[in-house]
Amino acid sequence: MGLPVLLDAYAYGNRWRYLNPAEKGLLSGLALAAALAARSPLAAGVVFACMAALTVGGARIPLLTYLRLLLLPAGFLLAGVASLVVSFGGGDIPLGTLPGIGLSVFLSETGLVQASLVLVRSLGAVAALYFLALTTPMTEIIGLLRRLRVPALMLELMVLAYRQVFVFLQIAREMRVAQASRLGYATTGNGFRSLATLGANLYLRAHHRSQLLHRSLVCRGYEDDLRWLERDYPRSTRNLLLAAVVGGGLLALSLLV
Amino acid sequence: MPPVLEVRNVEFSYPDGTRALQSLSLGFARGRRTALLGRNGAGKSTLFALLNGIEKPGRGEVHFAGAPVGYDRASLRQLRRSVGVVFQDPDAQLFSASIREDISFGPVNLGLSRAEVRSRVEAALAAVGLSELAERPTHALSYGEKKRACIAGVLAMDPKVLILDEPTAGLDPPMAAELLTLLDALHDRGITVILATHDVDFAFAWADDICVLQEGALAFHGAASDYQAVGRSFPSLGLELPWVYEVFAELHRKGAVTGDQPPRSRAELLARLR
Repeated sequence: MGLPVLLDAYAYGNRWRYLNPAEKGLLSGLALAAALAARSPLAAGVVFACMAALTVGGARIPLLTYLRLLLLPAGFLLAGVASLVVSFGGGDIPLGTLPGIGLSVFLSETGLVQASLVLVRSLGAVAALYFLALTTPMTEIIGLLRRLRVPALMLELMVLAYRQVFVFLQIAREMRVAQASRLGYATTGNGFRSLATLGANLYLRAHHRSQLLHRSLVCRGYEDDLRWLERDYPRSTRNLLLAAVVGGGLLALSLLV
Repeated sequence: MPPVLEVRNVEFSYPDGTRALQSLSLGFARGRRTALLGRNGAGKSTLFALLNGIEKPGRGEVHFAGAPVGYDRASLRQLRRSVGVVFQDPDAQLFSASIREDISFGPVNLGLSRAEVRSRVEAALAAVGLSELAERPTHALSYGEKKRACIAGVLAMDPKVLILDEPTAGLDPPMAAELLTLLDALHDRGITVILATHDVDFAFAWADDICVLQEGALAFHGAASDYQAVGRSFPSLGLELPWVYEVFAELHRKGAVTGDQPPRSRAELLARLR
């Protein structure tokens, strides 16, 4: 299963699915602010540990799945921080010389400190966002954003894009199977050619589909804006307070430590 | 009684010059079930687009409830409130990942109150049998369930006329049977149901009236039970007769069945064997 599908499946089927998205959003937002504001790796590490524990222990996302999901941003992060740590031509700790071109490679001490902070902060921010993404379906996050007065145009785009991601995943999968069954991916050359036509066809299909969708919306009275009825959620003062205390605590920690 | 929905001498050509409809006159009687037969490109989808005001005829008029349809905003809103269209591909109709939100789209556009919208959404979900699945995201529904969600989205607007473009395409037989039960329930509520299909057997088993479009013109229009007329016209139009009609005719000649009126379905035919 691809990443968007996996995230989505858990958003609909976790223990905290039916909590008010405002409560989960508040905690996630405060934790995100805490991770970004953290001045020490310790504070950022606490944010990460706390949000990961809530996601795995509280919302009951399986630990292995969670770790798998972390691998993707972790890969990007490691590639990013490497440039902070490694320098060429001069630095604190000599590592050696690149054979052939005679360029010496160094590790930077300040770079190491910086890199570890950036790494833990980013992981904290990822954990804060994953908490919301894994416990709350996209449609409810959009509902929350509407209550926060995000412009309607943006929300409409989000609703359409989110729905179409799954429509196009499906179409792309079907096209790929159809190509593969006619040896479209039998050699590397074939593979590149097949992938290129798949992309081009997907674009045409997207265009055609947008026209069909527009037509069907017009049939149901679409004029200028896409409107629908938001659902009502149970409100819990206790949960909201808990979210504020935990999130606020993390933010205070990162500002102080 | 005047037809609830009618086209009079309409002509329609697409910008690329394709003539989709030529001097077509056709009325749909209130409360009847009509099946529209015709090959791909015969003009069925174009006709549906005209009936809902998405396209405007080049010549001729569309009439709803006895009055010509206007193309200003208010008139179109009135027309679309009364005539609902369910398209063939549910993925091209469902815009939201939440089916409740999707179904609420039409009623919200009608400017109804929140409470009214909510009760209409729940009633539409119940009518198509999706109440239990309403919490699931759209992409986790089966093809047949998505199809029913599309119908619910149109039903929630409380239309007088329901138009469906090939509703049984892509459905397995049990799903198609469920859909037919649903359409009959809607018909019993007084909704005029019009559907396009390629399935002649299904059309005759289900519909009160049969229309055949060929190359943008009306080639046949009559009651599905009018065995004589169907028997005369269909062969000359190059159309197959429903198999129950053909088998019945043969058995009737041999005196192996009771009665003279042909049966509509397999069960009816079996019951009438001597």
